[in-house]
Amino acid sequence: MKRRKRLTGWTPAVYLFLLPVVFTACSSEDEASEAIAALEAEYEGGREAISEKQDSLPEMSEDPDSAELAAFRAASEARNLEYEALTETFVPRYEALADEYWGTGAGLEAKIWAMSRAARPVRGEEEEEGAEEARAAKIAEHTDAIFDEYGQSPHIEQLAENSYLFNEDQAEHYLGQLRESSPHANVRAAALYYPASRKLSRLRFEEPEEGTDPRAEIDTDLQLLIDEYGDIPKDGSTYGALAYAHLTAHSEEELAIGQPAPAIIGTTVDGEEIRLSDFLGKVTVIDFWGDW
Amino acid sequence: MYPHERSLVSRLAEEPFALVGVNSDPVEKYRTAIEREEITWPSFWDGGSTDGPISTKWGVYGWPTIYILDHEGVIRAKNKREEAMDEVVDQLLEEMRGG
Repeated sequence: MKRRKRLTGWTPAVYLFLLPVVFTACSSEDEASEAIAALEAEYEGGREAISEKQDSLPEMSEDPDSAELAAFRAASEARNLEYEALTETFVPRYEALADEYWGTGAGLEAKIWAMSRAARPVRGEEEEEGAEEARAAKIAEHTDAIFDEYGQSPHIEQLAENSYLFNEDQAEHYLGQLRESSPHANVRAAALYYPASRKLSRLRFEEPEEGTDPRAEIDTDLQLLIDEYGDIPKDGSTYGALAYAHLTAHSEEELAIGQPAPAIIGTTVDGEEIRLSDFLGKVTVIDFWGDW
Repeated sequence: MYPHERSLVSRLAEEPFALVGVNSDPVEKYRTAIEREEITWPSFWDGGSTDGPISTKWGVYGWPTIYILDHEGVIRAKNKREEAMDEVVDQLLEEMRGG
Protein backbone atom coordinates (compact mmCIF):
# COMPACT_ATOMS: atom_id res chain seq x y z
CA MET A 1 0.00 0.00 0.00
CA LYS A 2 1.29 3.37 -0.99
CA ARG A 3 1.83 5.67 1.93
CA ARG A 4 0.58 9.15 1.29
CA LYS A 5 2.18 12.13 2.77
CA ARG A 6 -0.17 13.72 5.22
CA LEU A 7 -0.91 17.28 4.36
CA THR A 8 -2.96 18.14 7.38
CA GLY A 9 -2.22 17.63 11.04
CA TRP A 10 1.23 18.77 11.95
CA THR A 11 3.14 16.75 14.50
CA PRO A 12 3.36 18.10 18.04
CA ALA A 13 7.04 18.84 17.48
CA VAL A 14 6.10 21.38 14.82
CA TYR A 15 3.69 23.08 17.23
CA LEU A 16 6.43 23.27 19.82
CA PHE A 17 8.69 24.80 17.26
CA LEU A 18 6.03 27.42 16.41
CA LEU A 19 5.37 28.35 20.01
CA PRO A 20 8.19 30.88 20.37
CA VAL A 21 7.22 32.47 17.05
CA VAL A 22 3.66 33.06 18.25
CA PHE A 23 4.91 34.17 21.63
CA THR A 24 7.30 36.71 20.11
CA ALA A 25 4.56 38.10 17.87
CA CYS A 26 2.27 38.62 20.89
CA SER A 27 4.91 40.16 23.06
CA SER A 28 5.97 42.65 20.39
CA GLU A 29 2.29 43.69 19.98
CA ASP A 30 2.11 44.20 23.75
CA GLU A 31 5.39 46.02 23.87
CA ALA A 32 4.30 48.28 21.02
CA SER A 33 0.97 49.04 22.72
CA GLU A 34 2.77 49.96 25.91
CA ALA A 35 5.21 52.16 24.05
CA ILE A 36 2.49 54.10 22.26
CA ALA A 37 0.42 54.42 25.44
CA ALA A 38 3.45 55.94 27.20
CA LEU A 39 4.07 58.35 24.35
CA GLU A 40 0.40 59.35 24.26
CA ALA A 41 0.41 59.97 28.02
CA GLU A 42 3.46 62.18 27.65
CA TYR A 43 1.87 64.13 24.81
CA GLU A 44 -1.40 64.56 26.71
CA GLY A 45 0.58 65.71 29.76
CA GLY A 46 2.21 68.36 27.61
CA ARG A 47 -1.16 69.51 26.31
CA GLU A 48 -2.59 69.67 29.80
CA ALA A 49 0.29 71.81 30.99
CA ILE A 50 -0.52 74.26 28.19
CA SER A 51 -4.27 74.21 28.80
CA GLU A 52 -3.82 74.87 32.51
CA LYS A 53 -2.62 78.29 31.51
CA GLN A 54 -6.11 78.81 30.18
CA ASP A 55 -7.16 80.02 33.62
CA SER A 56 -5.03 83.06 33.13
CA LEU A 57 -6.67 83.95 29.82
CA PRO A 58 -8.20 87.43 29.82
CA GLU A 59 -11.99 87.69 30.09
CA MET A 60 -13.85 86.91 26.91
CA SER A 61 -15.88 89.91 25.83
CA GLU A 62 -18.96 90.18 23.62
CA ASP A 63 -18.02 93.62 22.39
CA PRO A 64 -16.24 93.13 19.04
CA ASP A 65 -14.23 96.35 19.39
CA SER A 66 -13.15 95.91 22.96
CA ALA A 67 -9.56 95.65 24.08
CA GLU A 68 -10.57 92.61 26.18
CA LEU A 69 -11.68 90.68 23.11
CA ALA A 70 -8.48 91.53 21.27
CA ALA A 71 -6.45 90.39 24.29
CA PHE A 72 -8.47 87.20 24.54
CA ARG A 73 -7.93 86.43 20.87
CA ALA A 74 -4.22 87.10 21.10
CA ALA A 75 -3.86 84.90 24.17
CA SER A 76 -5.78 81.99 22.71
CA GLU A 77 -3.86 82.27 19.46
CA ALA A 78 -0.62 82.16 21.44
CA ARG A 79 -1.83 79.04 23.19
CA ASN A 80 -2.74 77.39 19.92
CA LEU A 81 0.77 78.07 18.68
CA GLU A 82 2.11 76.40 21.81
CA TYR A 83 -0.02 73.33 21.12
CA GLU A 84 1.31 73.26 17.63
CA ALA A 85 4.94 73.58 18.69
CA LEU A 86 4.40 70.69 21.11
CA THR A 87 2.87 68.55 18.38
CA GLU A 88 5.80 69.32 16.09
CA THR A 89 8.24 67.91 18.64
CA PHE A 90 6.21 64.71 18.92
CA VAL A 91 5.89 63.97 15.20
CA PRO A 92 9.44 62.54 14.86
CA ARG A 93 8.93 60.52 18.05
CA TYR A 94 5.74 58.94 16.72
CA GLU A 95 7.54 58.27 13.45
CA ALA A 96 10.39 56.56 15.27
CA LEU A 97 7.92 54.45 17.21
CA ALA A 98 6.18 53.47 13.97
CA ASP A 99 9.52 52.40 12.49
CA GLU A 100 10.47 50.41 15.54
CA TYR A 101 7.18 48.53 15.72
CA TRP A 102 6.34 48.49 12.02
CA GLY A 103 3.99 45.59 11.36
CA THR A 104 2.12 45.79 14.67
CA GLY A 105 -1.21 47.53 15.29
CA ALA A 106 0.43 50.17 17.48
CA GLY A 107 3.08 50.77 14.83
CA LEU A 108 0.35 51.64 12.34
CA GLU A 109 -1.41 53.79 14.93
CA ALA A 110 1.80 55.79 15.42
CA LYS A 111 2.27 56.15 11.69
CA ILE A 112 -1.26 57.47 11.22
CA TRP A 113 -0.78 59.90 14.11
CA ALA A 114 2.34 61.36 12.49
CA MET A 115 0.69 61.39 9.08
CA SER A 116 -2.42 63.19 10.31
CA ARG A 117 -0.29 65.97 11.77
CA ALA A 118 1.64 66.30 8.55
CA ALA A 119 -1.64 66.58 6.65
CA ARG A 120 -2.73 69.82 8.28
CA PRO A 121 -2.09 73.27 6.90
CA VAL A 122 0.21 75.35 9.10
CA ARG A 123 -1.80 77.63 11.34
CA GLY A 124 -1.78 81.31 10.61
CA GLU A 125 0.45 81.04 7.57
CA GLU A 126 -0.59 81.95 4.11
CA GLU A 127 -0.45 78.78 2.01
CA GLU A 128 1.86 78.80 -0.95
CA GLU A 129 0.49 77.69 -4.26
CA GLY A 130 0.58 73.92 -4.60
CA ALA A 131 0.79 73.33 -0.83
CA GLU A 132 -2.38 71.30 -0.84
CA GLU A 133 -1.10 69.09 -3.66
CA ALA A 134 2.19 68.66 -1.84
CA ARG A 135 0.37 67.50 1.30
CA ALA A 136 -1.77 65.08 -0.71
CA ALA A 137 1.37 63.66 -2.31
CA LYS A 138 2.90 63.17 1.14
CA ILE A 139 -0.23 61.35 2.31
CA ALA A 140 -0.15 59.14 -0.77
CA GLU A 141 3.49 58.26 -0.14
CA HIS A 142 2.81 57.27 3.47
CA THR A 143 -0.33 55.40 2.52
CA ASP A 144 1.46 53.39 -0.15
CA ALA A 145 4.01 52.35 2.46
CA ILE A 146 1.17 51.37 4.79
CA PHE A 147 -0.46 49.28 2.08
CA ASP A 148 2.84 47.48 1.40
CA GLU A 149 3.07 46.38 5.01
CA TYR A 150 -0.55 46.21 6.18
CA GLY A 151 -2.55 45.68 2.98
CA GLN A 152 -3.53 42.16 4.03
CA SER A 153 -3.63 42.88 7.77
CA PRO A 154 -6.75 43.41 9.90
CA HIS A 155 -4.96 46.41 11.48
CA ILE A 156 -5.50 48.49 8.36
CA GLU A 157 -9.06 49.11 9.61
CA GLN A 158 -7.43 52.08 11.40
CA LEU A 159 -6.55 53.67 8.09
CA ALA A 160 -10.16 53.46 6.92
CA GLU A 161 -11.24 55.09 10.19
CA ASN A 162 -8.96 57.99 9.39
CA SER A 163 -10.10 58.35 5.82
CA TYR A 164 -10.67 62.07 6.43
CA LEU A 165 -6.96 62.37 5.66
CA PHE A 166 -7.63 61.59 2.01
CA ASN A 167 -8.92 63.84 -0.70
CA GLU A 168 -11.86 62.50 -2.68
CA ASP A 169 -9.84 60.67 -5.32
CA GLN A 170 -7.57 59.10 -2.73
CA ALA A 171 -10.51 57.96 -0.63
CA GLU A 172 -12.07 56.39 -3.67
CA HIS A 173 -8.83 54.68 -4.64
CA TYR A 174 -7.55 53.41 -1.29
CA LEU A 175 -10.84 52.53 0.36
CA GLY A 176 -12.11 50.95 -2.84
CA GLN A 177 -9.03 48.76 -2.78
CA LEU A 178 -9.73 47.72 0.80
CA ARG A 179 -13.41 47.03 0.10
CA GLU A 180 -12.53 44.85 -2.84
CA SER A 181 -9.50 42.99 -1.71
CA SER A 182 -9.08 42.92 2.04
CA PRO A 183 -9.49 39.38 3.38
CA HIS A 184 -10.78 40.83 6.68
CA ALA A 185 -14.45 41.67 7.22
CA ASN A 186 -13.62 44.40 9.79
CA VAL A 187 -11.48 46.18 7.17
CA ARG A 188 -14.09 45.92 4.42
CA ALA A 189 -16.77 47.14 6.85
CA ALA A 190 -14.68 50.15 7.90
CA ALA A 191 -13.91 50.97 4.27
CA LEU A 192 -17.66 51.10 3.62
CA TYR A 193 -18.73 52.81 6.83
CA TYR A 194 -16.32 55.73 7.22
CA PRO A 195 -16.67 57.21 3.74
CA ALA A 196 -20.47 56.91 4.03
CA SER A 197 -20.45 58.59 7.42
CA ARG A 198 -18.17 61.33 6.10
CA LYS A 199 -20.39 61.96 3.07
CA LEU A 200 -23.38 62.22 5.40
CA SER A 201 -21.74 64.85 7.54
CA ARG A 202 -20.80 66.79 4.42
CA LEU A 203 -24.47 66.72 3.37
CA ARG A 204 -25.36 68.51 6.60
CA PHE A 205 -23.43 71.54 5.43
CA GLU A 206 -23.52 71.39 1.67
CA GLU A 207 -26.31 71.16 -0.80
CA PRO A 208 -25.76 68.20 -3.14
CA GLU A 209 -24.92 68.99 -6.75
CA GLU A 210 -27.92 69.47 -8.96
CA GLY A 211 -29.23 66.25 -10.45
CA THR A 212 -27.27 64.02 -8.08
CA ASP A 213 -28.69 61.92 -5.27
CA PRO A 214 -25.75 61.21 -2.98
CA ARG A 215 -28.13 60.07 -0.24
CA ALA A 216 -29.30 57.09 -2.30
CA GLU A 217 -25.71 55.90 -2.77
CA ILE A 218 -24.93 56.36 0.90
CA ASP A 219 -28.05 54.46 1.93
CA THR A 220 -27.09 51.56 -0.32
CA ASP A 221 -23.74 51.33 1.48
CA LEU A 222 -25.40 51.60 4.89
CA GLN A 223 -27.84 48.84 3.99
CA LEU A 224 -24.97 46.68 2.79
CA LEU A 225 -23.25 47.21 6.14
CA ILE A 226 -26.37 46.09 7.98
CA ASP A 227 -26.83 43.04 5.77
CA GLU A 228 -23.25 41.87 5.42
CA TYR A 229 -21.32 43.32 8.35
CA GLY A 230 -24.02 43.72 10.98
CA ASP A 231 -22.15 41.82 13.68
CA ILE A 232 -18.67 43.20 13.14
CA PRO A 233 -17.73 45.01 16.37
CA LYS A 234 -16.77 48.67 16.36
CA ASP A 235 -15.85 50.27 19.70
CA GLY A 236 -18.63 49.14 22.06
CA SER A 237 -21.07 48.78 19.18
CA THR A 238 -21.23 47.13 15.76
CA TYR A 239 -20.95 48.43 12.22
CA GLY A 240 -24.51 47.21 11.74
CA ALA A 241 -25.87 49.25 14.65
CA LEU A 242 -23.94 52.33 13.55
CA ALA A 243 -25.17 52.05 9.97
CA TYR A 244 -28.72 51.51 11.21
CA ALA A 245 -28.49 54.62 13.39
CA HIS A 246 -27.48 56.69 10.36
CA LEU A 247 -30.16 55.15 8.19
CA THR A 248 -32.92 55.81 10.72
CA ALA A 249 -31.60 59.07 12.22
CA HIS A 250 -34.32 61.35 13.56
CA SER A 251 -35.10 64.45 11.56
CA GLU A 252 -34.89 67.92 13.06
CA GLU A 253 -38.71 68.03 13.03
CA GLU A 254 -38.89 64.86 15.12
CA LEU A 255 -36.56 66.37 17.69
CA ALA A 256 -38.27 69.77 17.81
CA ILE A 257 -39.67 71.30 20.97
CA GLY A 258 -43.23 70.05 21.46
CA GLN A 259 -42.55 66.64 19.93
CA PRO A 260 -42.60 63.44 21.98
CA ALA A 261 -39.00 62.38 22.51
CA PRO A 262 -38.09 59.37 20.36
CA ALA A 263 -37.35 56.14 22.20
CA ILE A 264 -33.85 55.31 23.37
CA ILE A 265 -33.11 51.70 24.20
CA GLY A 266 -29.58 51.00 25.28
CA THR A 267 -27.37 49.70 28.01
CA THR A 268 -25.39 51.16 30.87
CA VAL A 269 -21.64 50.72 30.88
CA ASP A 270 -22.23 47.59 32.98
CA GLY A 271 -24.48 46.11 30.31
CA GLU A 272 -27.80 46.61 32.09
CA GLU A 273 -30.64 47.48 29.76
CA ILE A 274 -31.96 51.00 30.12
CA ARG A 275 -34.76 52.76 28.24
CA LEU A 276 -35.77 56.37 28.06
CA SER A 277 -39.33 55.20 28.75
CA ASP A 278 -38.14 54.05 32.22
CA PHE A 279 -38.30 57.74 33.15
CA LEU A 280 -41.83 58.45 31.95
CA GLY A 281 -43.77 60.19 34.70
CA LYS A 282 -40.71 62.21 35.65
CA VAL A 283 -39.40 65.50 34.36
CA THR A 284 -36.26 64.29 32.62
CA VAL A 285 -33.06 65.97 31.55
CA ILE A 286 -31.15 64.07 28.86
CA ASP A 287 -27.52 65.08 28.86
CA PHE A 288 -25.31 63.92 26.00
CA TRP A 289 -21.94 64.18 27.71
CA GLY A 290 -18.34 63.15 27.77
CA ASP A 291 -15.52 63.76 30.19
CA TRP A 292 -13.30 66.07 28.15
CA MET B 1 -21.44 70.99 34.41
CA TYR B 2 -20.78 68.40 37.11
CA PRO B 3 -21.20 70.56 40.25
CA HIS B 4 -24.42 72.05 38.92
CA GLU B 5 -25.83 68.68 37.93
CA ARG B 6 -24.85 67.17 41.27
CA SER B 7 -26.67 69.89 43.16
CA LEU B 8 -29.72 69.67 40.88
CA VAL B 9 -29.96 65.91 41.41
CA SER B 10 -29.60 66.19 45.17
CA ARG B 11 -32.02 69.13 45.45
CA LEU B 12 -34.69 67.20 43.51
CA ALA B 13 -33.95 63.76 44.98
CA GLU B 14 -37.48 63.50 46.40
CA GLU B 15 -39.19 64.93 43.32
CA PRO B 16 -40.41 63.18 40.16
CA PHE B 17 -37.23 64.20 38.39
CA ALA B 18 -34.49 62.30 36.57
CA LEU B 19 -31.20 63.22 35.02
CA VAL B 20 -30.05 60.66 32.50
CA GLY B 21 -26.84 60.84 30.52
CA VAL B 22 -25.80 59.53 27.14
CA ASN B 23 -22.09 59.07 27.57
CA SER B 24 -19.55 59.03 24.74
CA ASP B 25 -16.38 58.15 26.68
CA PRO B 26 -14.32 55.00 26.41
CA VAL B 27 -15.15 52.65 29.31
CA GLU B 28 -12.13 53.48 31.49
CA LYS B 29 -12.54 57.20 31.08
CA TYR B 30 -16.21 56.95 31.96
CA ARG B 31 -15.54 54.93 35.10
CA THR B 32 -12.85 57.37 36.23
CA ALA B 33 -15.20 60.31 35.64
CA ILE B 34 -18.13 58.90 37.64
CA GLU B 35 -15.79 58.10 40.52
CA ARG B 36 -14.01 61.44 40.53
CA GLU B 37 -17.12 63.57 40.01
CA GLU B 38 -19.38 61.48 42.25
CA ILE B 39 -21.86 60.95 39.45
CA THR B 40 -24.85 59.06 40.82
CA TRP B 41 -27.26 59.41 37.91
CA PRO B 42 -27.50 56.75 35.21
CA SER B 43 -26.17 57.03 31.68
CA PHE B 44 -26.71 55.20 28.46
CA TRP B 45 -23.25 54.17 27.33
CA ASP B 46 -22.89 55.03 23.66
CA GLY B 47 -20.20 52.56 22.68
CA GLY B 48 -17.19 54.59 23.78
CA SER B 49 -17.09 57.16 21.01
CA THR B 50 -18.75 60.38 19.92
CA ASP B 51 -19.86 58.53 16.80
CA GLY B 52 -21.95 56.09 18.85
CA PRO B 53 -25.38 54.89 17.72
CA ILE B 54 -27.49 57.02 20.08
CA SER B 55 -25.69 60.28 19.31
CA THR B 56 -25.84 59.44 15.61
CA LYS B 57 -29.53 58.68 15.73
CA TRP B 58 -30.23 61.91 17.60
CA GLY B 59 -27.98 63.94 15.32
CA VAL B 60 -25.76 65.09 18.20
CA TYR B 61 -22.54 66.61 16.90
CA GLY B 62 -21.68 68.89 19.80
CA TRP B 63 -21.27 68.15 23.50
CA PRO B 64 -22.86 68.66 25.88
CA THR B 65 -26.25 68.59 24.18
CA ILE B 66 -29.24 68.85 26.50
CA TYR B 67 -32.89 67.91 26.03
CA ILE B 68 -35.45 68.58 28.75
CA LEU B 69 -38.61 66.46 28.69
CA ASP B 70 -41.79 66.90 30.67
CA HIS B 71 -43.25 64.01 32.66
CA GLU B 72 -45.11 62.83 29.56
CA GLY B 73 -41.89 62.53 27.58
CA VAL B 74 -42.46 65.58 25.39
CA ILE B 75 -39.41 67.66 24.43
CA ARG B 76 -39.88 71.03 26.13
CA ALA B 77 -36.45 72.66 25.97
CA LYS B 78 -33.00 72.17 24.49
CA ASN B 79 -29.52 73.14 25.53
CA LYS B 80 -30.50 74.99 28.70
CA ARG B 81 -27.67 74.87 31.19
CA GLU B 82 -27.00 75.83 34.77
CA GLU B 83 -29.65 78.26 36.10
CA ALA B 84 -31.60 78.17 32.85
CA MET B 85 -31.89 74.39 33.23
CA ASP B 86 -33.06 74.77 36.86
CA GLU B 87 -35.70 77.23 35.78
CA VAL B 88 -37.17 74.97 33.10
CA VAL B 89 -37.09 71.91 35.36
CA ASP B 90 -38.79 73.74 38.24
CA GLN B 91 -41.41 75.12 35.90
CA LEU B 92 -42.15 71.65 34.46
CA LEU B 93 -42.42 70.16 37.96
CA GLU B 94 -44.79 72.96 38.87
CA GLU B 95 -46.84 72.32 35.73
CA MET B 96 -46.97 68.62 36.58
CA ARG B 97 -48.42 69.38 39.98
CA GLY B 98 -51.10 71.35 38.16
CA GLY B 99 -49.67 74.71 39.12
